[in-house]
Amino acid sequence: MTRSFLLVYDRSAGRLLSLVEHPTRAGALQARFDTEKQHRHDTSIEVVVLTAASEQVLHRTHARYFKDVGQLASDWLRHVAEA
Amino acid sequence: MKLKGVQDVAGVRVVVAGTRRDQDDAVARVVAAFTGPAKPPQVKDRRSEPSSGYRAVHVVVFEGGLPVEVQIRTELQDLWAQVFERLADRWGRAIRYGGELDEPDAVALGSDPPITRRELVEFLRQLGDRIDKVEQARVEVHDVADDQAPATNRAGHVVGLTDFESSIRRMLPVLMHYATEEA
Repeated sequence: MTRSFLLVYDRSAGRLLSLVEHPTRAGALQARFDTEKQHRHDTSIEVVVLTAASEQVLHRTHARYFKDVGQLASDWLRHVAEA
Repeated sequence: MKLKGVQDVAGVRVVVAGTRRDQDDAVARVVAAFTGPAKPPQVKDRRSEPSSGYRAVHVVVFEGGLPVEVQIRTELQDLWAQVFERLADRWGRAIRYGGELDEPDAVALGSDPPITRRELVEFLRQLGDRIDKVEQARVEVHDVADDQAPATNRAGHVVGLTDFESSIRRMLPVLMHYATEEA
């Protein structure tokens, strides 16, 4: 069972503005198109629909939306320590 | 990216918790799952031919005649890509496709001695090369039992890891400062 999430991310601020789960993928896509229209003049805003088993999975596959570069570098060091 | 440059209509990302050999296995499973009467999957191995430093294996599969890109990364390759993309968000997204930074000669704040953004990005690309070497060495070590692994392989792996760790630690002040700037 997969779940659909709509993410709105501000690239220049490096901040996730919102993450909303939608009951259906079609609903999430429609919300994406509506949200893109709202931000069509702001190129730093990224609107994306991601589908995954859980929000936690997204934190692993799309860490960029959730962690800053310092946290990502710390994850690197942790992987090296475990290798 | 221009619309005509878009080659797929959807994407899937797989982050493999394992070695490069596990990544190869995942690629083989994806290819097998989508091999049939439809157009055969296309494998793009960006480990041997990195794109602007980015390494992964991409498999374009065809579902209902439409191309879907499956990105298969190891955890280290994925972390590299996440950091690179995050830097590109503010320093210039063109670097993801081999383009130039918006302000390449600006000093990367937090660096000591000072280095430019261009130098830091180049350093990050070199770090990608080191990741590749570390992952190749890891496969060589894992391919044989621990007690049978050639000492040279084990030693090379450890040296590679140490080298890799020192590279990350060297970049860490800049990355931490970058994170502060974002906040």
